[in-house]
Amino acid sequence: MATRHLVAEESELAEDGDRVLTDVRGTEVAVFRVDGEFHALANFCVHQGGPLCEGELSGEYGVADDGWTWAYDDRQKNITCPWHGWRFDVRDGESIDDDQYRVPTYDVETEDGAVYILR
Amino acid sequence: MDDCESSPEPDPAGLETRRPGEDPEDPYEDVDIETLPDWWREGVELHREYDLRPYRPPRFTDGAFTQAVIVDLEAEVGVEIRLSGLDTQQGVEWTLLVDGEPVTTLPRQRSPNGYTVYGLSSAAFERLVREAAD
Repeated sequence: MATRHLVAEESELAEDGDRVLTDVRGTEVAVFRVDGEFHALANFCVHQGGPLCEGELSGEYGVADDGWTWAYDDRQKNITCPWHGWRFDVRDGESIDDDQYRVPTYDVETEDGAVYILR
Repeated sequence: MDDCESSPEPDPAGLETRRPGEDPEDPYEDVDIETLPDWWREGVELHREYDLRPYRPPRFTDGAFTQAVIVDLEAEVGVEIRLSGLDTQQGVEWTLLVDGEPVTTLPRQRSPNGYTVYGLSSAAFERLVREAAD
């Protein structure tokens, strides 16, 4: 059965694009805020163990509503590992470039202004 | 099990051509992980489940494992210890919190050997926690 671990105060994740990293029983976990929701994943790149969640957050380009032009989705949902540039979606931990790779993720709960992960 | 002292510190750039999860060593080759503390065994199992490089615990500069020191200190001193980084990017220090109160910031970095090293000794960390608890 998963145990709840305090990782942050909600006030520390007040805006989209905010993140908090913490050590949970010897494993580093990051919590990101995207579209008002919290998402947690391990701070360990699938490639070679780089500090993934300490990299740059960004949006991404996609096809615009007209189906013809490119548009930039500026939601800060993609994290890039500072070691070798591997990219993952913080909402589900999946690689942007190859869906066979995925970073561990954790369920997140909030209560009385505190943010917890389940592990 | 612990390659902290035996392996040369590789350059992260030198790891770029390795396959995902590839590691030159299996630190648990001759280890029954059931004999490890729960937090350690859980780390090993998580890394195996996701085909990550082997789990290697975070540590202080003297090689003492952070989690082991924290568990002992929390039990002995009767405080809650948290290491946390707010909006942290690579190279930015984390904060040591004792019972939710920030005490100081701690330098840290991810070693290319696959573990985090905090830039102080376990003895210095213990002193900080005990002073904060007094």
